[in-house]
Amino acid sequence: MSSKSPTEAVPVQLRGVTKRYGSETAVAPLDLTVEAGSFVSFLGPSGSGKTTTLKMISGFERPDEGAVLFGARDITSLPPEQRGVGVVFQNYSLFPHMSVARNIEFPLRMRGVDRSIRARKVREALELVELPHVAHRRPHELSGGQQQRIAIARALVFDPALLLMDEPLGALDRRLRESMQLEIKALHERLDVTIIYVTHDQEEALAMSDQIVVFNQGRVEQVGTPQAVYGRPRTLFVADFLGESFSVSGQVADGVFAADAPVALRLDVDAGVGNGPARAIWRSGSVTASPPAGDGSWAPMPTTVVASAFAGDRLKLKLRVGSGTEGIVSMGADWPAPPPGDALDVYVDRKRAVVVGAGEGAEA
Amino acid sequence: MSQPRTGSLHWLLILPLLAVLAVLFIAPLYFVIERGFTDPPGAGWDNYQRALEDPAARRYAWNTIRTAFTVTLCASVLGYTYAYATFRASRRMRVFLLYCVLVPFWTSLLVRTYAWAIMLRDEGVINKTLGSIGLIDAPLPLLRNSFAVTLGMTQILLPFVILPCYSAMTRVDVSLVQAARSLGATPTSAFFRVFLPLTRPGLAAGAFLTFILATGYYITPVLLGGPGDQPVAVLIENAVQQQGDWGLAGALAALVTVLVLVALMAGWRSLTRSVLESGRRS
Ligand SMILES: Nc1ncnc2c1ncn2[C@@H]1O[C@H](COP(=O)(O)OP(=O)(O)OP(=O)(O)O)[C@@H](O)[C@H]1O
Ligand SMILES: [Mg+2]
Repeated sequence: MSSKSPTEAVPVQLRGVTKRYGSETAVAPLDLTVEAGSFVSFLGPSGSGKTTTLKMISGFERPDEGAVLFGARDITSLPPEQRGVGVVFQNYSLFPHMSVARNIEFPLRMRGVDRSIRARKVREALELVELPHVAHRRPHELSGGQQQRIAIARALVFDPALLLMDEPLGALDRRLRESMQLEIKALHERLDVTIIYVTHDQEEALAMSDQIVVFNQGRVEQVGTPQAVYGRPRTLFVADFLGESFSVSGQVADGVFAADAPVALRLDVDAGVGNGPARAIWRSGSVTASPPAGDGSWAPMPTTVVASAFAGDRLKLKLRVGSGTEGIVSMGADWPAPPPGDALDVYVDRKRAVVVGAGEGAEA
Repeated sequence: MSQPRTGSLHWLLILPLLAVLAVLFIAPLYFVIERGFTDPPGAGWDNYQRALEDPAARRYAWNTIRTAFTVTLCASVLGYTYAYATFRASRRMRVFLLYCVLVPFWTSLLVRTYAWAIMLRDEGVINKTLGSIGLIDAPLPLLRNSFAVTLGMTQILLPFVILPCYSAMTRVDVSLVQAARSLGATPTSAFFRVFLPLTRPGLAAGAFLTFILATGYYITPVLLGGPGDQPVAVLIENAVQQQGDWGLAGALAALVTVLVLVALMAGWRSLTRSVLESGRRS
C-alpha cells in the first residue's frame, strides 16, 4: 500500500485475444499493450466488449483464442485468485455480511497474512481512502461514494500490480463522480500500480487517462493519448464518440481532400488516408463565427443552423453543411443565438482539420 | 425493507384466514388442552404430573426429538446440496430438477410412506437386487428401524429445505463471488466465506420448518420405524384409542405444543429474517 510496495506494476499484453458467445463475437482478435504503471481507459459504447476484455484480463472469462501476458508471463489459463489483480466492480460488490474492516481484510486473510500486519494494512488502506472512521460499519451503512472508496481500498490492500475498474463511478451522481475521478487519479500517482479503467463517458476518459483505448463492436478503433484520440481521431467513429465535432464530406484523390459542392475547400492530407470518400473533421475550438483577423488558415464555410442551445459560457450549435452532413460545435456565447433555419457562415481552421476515410461502414 | 402501508385495510384481507384458523385449529386445540385439566373432573395438574413422570412418555418424547434432529440435519445437508446443484445447472436442467422436487407434493404422504416400506422390506427391490447380484447372503435389515424413518422422513421433507435455499441462492449477487475470487479466494473458500453466509437465512428457514414438521410426524415413523422410533403422537393416540384417557392425551398434546412453541421462538429470528429479506431487493 505504501509507495515502496513489494509488487511492481506490470505491463499487460493481449495477443490476438478473441471471445465469442455462441455465434456472437464479443471481442474480435485484439492486440493491445498496456505499459507498466500507466493509467489506461477502455472507452466505447455499450456492448463494445470492454467488460469482456477486462474479464479476460482478470480471469473470469477465458479467451477462445489468443493469450494474455503479465510481463513475460503467460497467464491465459490462470484462475482469477492466482492472478493477484485488484478488481473494482460497478456495483462495488462489498460483502454485505462483513464489516468494512472485514471486507478490506478479506484479501489479506486469503493470503494468510499475519494478524497484526492485517490490522495495520487495513488501517493504512482506510486512511488512503480517507475513511478511517467507518471500519466497524456494515457496507449498507455507507453512502455510494463511501462504498466505492472502500471497494477501492479492498482492491488495493494486497498491493496488486494491476488494478481493473469497470465503470466504478457509473452509479454516482455527476458531482461526486468528478471528485472521485480526481481522487482515483491522485491515488494512481501515489501508488506504483497499472490501472485499466472502463468507462463509456468520454470526458472521464479524457480527464483521467495516460492512454485511451477506443472500442467499437469488439474491436479497437484507436489507441492513443487523450490529446491524440481527441485531436487526431483516426476514424469517424472515434471522432464522433469523443465529443462534439463538425465535418464535411468530400473525396480524397492523390493526397488532396476536396469537399463536395457547394463547399469550396481543399486540404492536403497525410499518407494514411487512401483515395475515395472521406470526411474532414473539426473540433469545437477550430470552428468559429468570427476568425482572428490576418490568419490565413481559416476558411469560410456556408452552413444552416439546425438548432441552438445556450450552455452557460458557450453556445451550442447544430449546423448543417450544404452537402447534408450535420455537426455540433460550441462557440463563445458573446453573441445572440441564431434562430433555426438561418444561414450562418462559419470559419474552419485548415491546419487543424482531420481527414478520415468515410468508406464502407465508416458512417457512424 | 420499508413497504408502503395500505392503511388499516390490509387487516381485512387477513381476517377470513384468521377466522378459519380460529375455528379449525385454535378451538380444537383449546378443547384438547382443556380436557387435560378437567378429565377426570378436578384433575388440575395431575395429568401433567403423570405425563412427565411416565418413563414411556419420556422415551417417546426423546424419540421424537432425536428423529427430528437427525432428519433436520440430513435434509439440510442434502437439500442445500441439491439446491446448489440446481442453482449451478443449465437452464433446462434447472427446470427439470425443480420439477423433481415438486412432483412428490402431488402424491399423498401415505402412498409415499408405503412406497418406502415396500422398497425397504426383506423381499423389497433393494434387498432382491443386492441378493441377486450376490452382494449379500441375507436380506439387510432396512425396515422397522431408525434408518428407515430417517430416510423416509428426509425424503418427504426435503422440498421444505430445497425451496427456501434455492430461492435464497437466486437472490445472491454473483459478482460478490467473483469479487471474492479476484481478492484471492479459491472457489471453495469463496463458497464457504461468501456464498454460504449469504444463503444462510434460506437454509435456516428450511431447517427450521423441517424440524417443526418433523416433530409432528406420525404416519411415517409408525410405518417405517421400530419400537425405538415411535413418536409421542403414538402415545397420545394410545391414550385416546386404547385407554380412553383424554386427560393424559390432553396433557401430552399441550406439552408437545409447548415444545414446538419453544423451538419456534428459538428459530423465530432466522425465519422472519429470511422471509423479510426475500421481500427486499438486494
Ligand atoms: N455472458 C454473456 N453471454 C452472452 N453474451 C454476452 C455475455 N457477456 C457479454 N456478452 C455480449 O458480448 C458483447 C460485449 O459485451 P460487454 O459486456 O463486453 O460490453 P461492454 O462494452 O462492457 O458494454 P457496457 O458499456 O454496456 O458495459 C455484447 O454484445 C454482449 O451482449
Ligand atoms: Mg460493461
